[in-house]
Amino acid sequence: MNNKPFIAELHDIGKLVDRQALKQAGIDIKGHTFHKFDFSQLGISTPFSPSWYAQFSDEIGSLTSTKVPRNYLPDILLTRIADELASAISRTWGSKEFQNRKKGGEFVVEGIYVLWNPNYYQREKEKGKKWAAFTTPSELKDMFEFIENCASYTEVFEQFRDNLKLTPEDKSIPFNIVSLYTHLELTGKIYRILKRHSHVIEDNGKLYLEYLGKKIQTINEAAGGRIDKPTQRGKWIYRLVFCYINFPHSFSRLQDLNILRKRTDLIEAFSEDVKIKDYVLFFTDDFMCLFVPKEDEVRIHDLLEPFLKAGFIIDYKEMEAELNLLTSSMERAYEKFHSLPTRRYLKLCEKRAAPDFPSQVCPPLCDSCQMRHGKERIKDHIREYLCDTCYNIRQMGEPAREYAGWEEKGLRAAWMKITLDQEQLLKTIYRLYEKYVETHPAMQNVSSNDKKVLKESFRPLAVQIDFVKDYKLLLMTFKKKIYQIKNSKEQFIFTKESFLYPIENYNEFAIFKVYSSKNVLSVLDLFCNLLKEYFSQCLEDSPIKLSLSIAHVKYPYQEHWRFLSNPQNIINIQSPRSAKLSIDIAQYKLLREKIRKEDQKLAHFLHRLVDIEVETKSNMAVMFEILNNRRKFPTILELTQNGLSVRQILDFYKLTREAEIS
Amino acid sequence: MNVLNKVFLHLELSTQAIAIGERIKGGTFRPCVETIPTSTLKGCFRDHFGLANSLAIGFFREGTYKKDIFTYAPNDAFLGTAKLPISLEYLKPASGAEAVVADIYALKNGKTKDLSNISSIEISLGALKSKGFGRCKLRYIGEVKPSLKIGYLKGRLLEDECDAFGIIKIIKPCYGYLFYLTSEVGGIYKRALFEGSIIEGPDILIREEYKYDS
Repeated sequence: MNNKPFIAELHDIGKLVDRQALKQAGIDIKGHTFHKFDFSQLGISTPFSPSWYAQFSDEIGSLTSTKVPRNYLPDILLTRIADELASAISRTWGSKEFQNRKKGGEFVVEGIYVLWNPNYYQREKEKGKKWAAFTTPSELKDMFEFIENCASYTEVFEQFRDNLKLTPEDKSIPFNIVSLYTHLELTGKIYRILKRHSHVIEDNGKLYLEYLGKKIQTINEAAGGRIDKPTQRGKWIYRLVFCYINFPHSFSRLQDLNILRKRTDLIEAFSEDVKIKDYVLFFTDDFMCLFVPKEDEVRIHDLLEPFLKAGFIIDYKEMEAELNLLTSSMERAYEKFHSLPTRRYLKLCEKRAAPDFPSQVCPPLCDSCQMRHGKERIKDHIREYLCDTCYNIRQMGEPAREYAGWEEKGLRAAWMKITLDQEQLLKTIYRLYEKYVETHPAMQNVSSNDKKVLKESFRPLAVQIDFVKDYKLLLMTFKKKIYQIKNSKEQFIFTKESFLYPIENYNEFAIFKVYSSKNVLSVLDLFCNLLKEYFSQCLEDSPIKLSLSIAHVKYPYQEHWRFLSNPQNIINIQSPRSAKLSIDIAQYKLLREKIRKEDQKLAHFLHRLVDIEVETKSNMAVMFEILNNRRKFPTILELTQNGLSVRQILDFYKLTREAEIS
Repeated sequence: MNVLNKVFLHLELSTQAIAIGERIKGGTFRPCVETIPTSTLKGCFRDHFGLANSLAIGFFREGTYKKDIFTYAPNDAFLGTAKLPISLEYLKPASGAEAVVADIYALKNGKTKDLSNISSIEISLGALKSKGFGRCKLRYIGEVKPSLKIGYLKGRLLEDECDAFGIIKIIKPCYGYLFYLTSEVGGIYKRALFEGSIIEGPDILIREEYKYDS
């Protein structure tokens, strides 16, 4: 028995091989796995490490197989199950005709197709990066040596990072939308969780894998059939959990912002903990997606204990289902499942994990979280009542200390938050994928039935993960570029002192000085430009949203945060008691182009329109006035014809005409 | 449809400005809530109608209100000076609305049945009454026999009032605390269900149906 580890991630390493290039070098390769490869072509012997047998994963559908040594069968079968779950589109869907055409290579194209950024591959290629890691016989030898000697899955990602990012998991349109990097990450995590919670047993000389008392020998027995197969029930039930990590605390002191640091730190520690990290499929600063066994095996409260101990409240959406029914588009699957006559198992619940709150609390309540008894704390002659949890958070340090010192007369500050809306993300991904299936030239000769099946069989989890990675990249680029913006005098608009990131490593949140509307517009412009650069295909329904709350420095922090936490559109700005605006990117571009702050007459006209709207409660009356003045103010007519209301135009005008302070 | 064995008296409340405060969260800002918790109405009905332990809950009607901020400096009676100014959030009529309107549902029983005689009465509710806030008109609309529904709670009520309100199952509790008077001068905070909790109970308490498993 070989003592080296079995590395599930290596099952797809062959996808990094450039078969065309090797064919020209005289090496004949069929498919992306090498279990049938003629090693004499390279003058080397067949590898024999456990990981080598991952090459057989497409061949092994049962523990009764005799194609590989018996002791490797369980790992290979689990890899196969994980591989299928991790794929964005099941490979078994579609008509025979479509599958044959796909096998024949009709839909194969080079490089990954990023749904929200279709030019990504071309741009990376122009930078000199390449998808293939193995293009020569010598490099192919290196690959087999790597398979033979690789000691950990992290080596796979370290060594082939760039190639894995540019190679799709499946090279055929429309399957080519997930990077191999993410696919392998996901496959590896799922494989390790399945392995951790199952064990191999032998019964009457037969090999089984058992999880929670359910013995299986084949993939179908474990995972079940497709959703439209009412009798193909899978025995293994797992959960996909979307966790929204919230807190009850209010921000009345700057130190209360430490709760954000606490959350970021906890999520990071959680997703790096050796015992836990494989449960975490992906995460952002306020969200985690977990893959976990049933409650009998892993209690969610136990798993999330570090968060609950720190006072966080976790609202989670839990899908518990047979493995093959699990998908991150939970609501869609739930509706589909219940529209079919079936005896299979799929449940969807909304739940909350929270610390144990007592049934009664003697006054006073904690001023911050309002969930526990508050003890008297006196600092700088100010008396407050805080529970131990909130007090400890206050003691974590003084974030945004500079902000407290912003005392320039008339200075206003903007609180900024960039948010990724997970629900909108799913909708956007579906829209982009369906558009891809419908409109790509290669799909024009595919039957409408096959297209329908391709859409129905879409599992967006891996695509979501790729999106989240690009989102994090956008945040980092924003943080870098904000300090590079220059004004007309070639001076930097923001410095580290005037644009603060109060919480280290939490790049969604910043506070900056607003000397004039130029500061605000620079931030908005940068956001729009980066959105266009990284997510050009979702400018209309972007799940990434920016909120700005602009007020004097002493304005209640809690009120800033309330606005920032609830974005209504892609761009959201408020200046309390003055203006509140929620618009999309196209509307912003239009307003930016058409509204000039110097135009005083326009302001008077906008105010008059708003008065008419309030008095008459009639849009007709407002439109009549606009049409009457169309020669004088053609801009207003154009803007309203593009879906902007008079109030939105006025609010934008107000937000961008603020006088400059020295 | 499952009809509950409970009868509620539906009352309509209208006002020009009202501030039902979240508990003071430190600092100088006092946010207000958009529902009327049972604890607030209990005090109000006790003061105005002499009802010791009435059970009623209220919800401001969407589209009738918007939020604004009122800043004032409370007086320190001892020192005879003004304290730090406080910003109080309150509800005022939305553009185009004549008044902020709320629906109040009081559980009908021997004590509360007289509420059905109210054609229109002035009451005061919430904070800063001395500044003119919370002057409300209350009028009786009619009896309601709610159906049973599963969905998201839209108000705030004490956990131990659930049975009385006809809540038969709490699927997802979102806890907070409401003040409960235990004597003339003091009280405690009791655990309560807040907005967003998922319950099976009378439809009048439900904001939106919950479509999944419990």
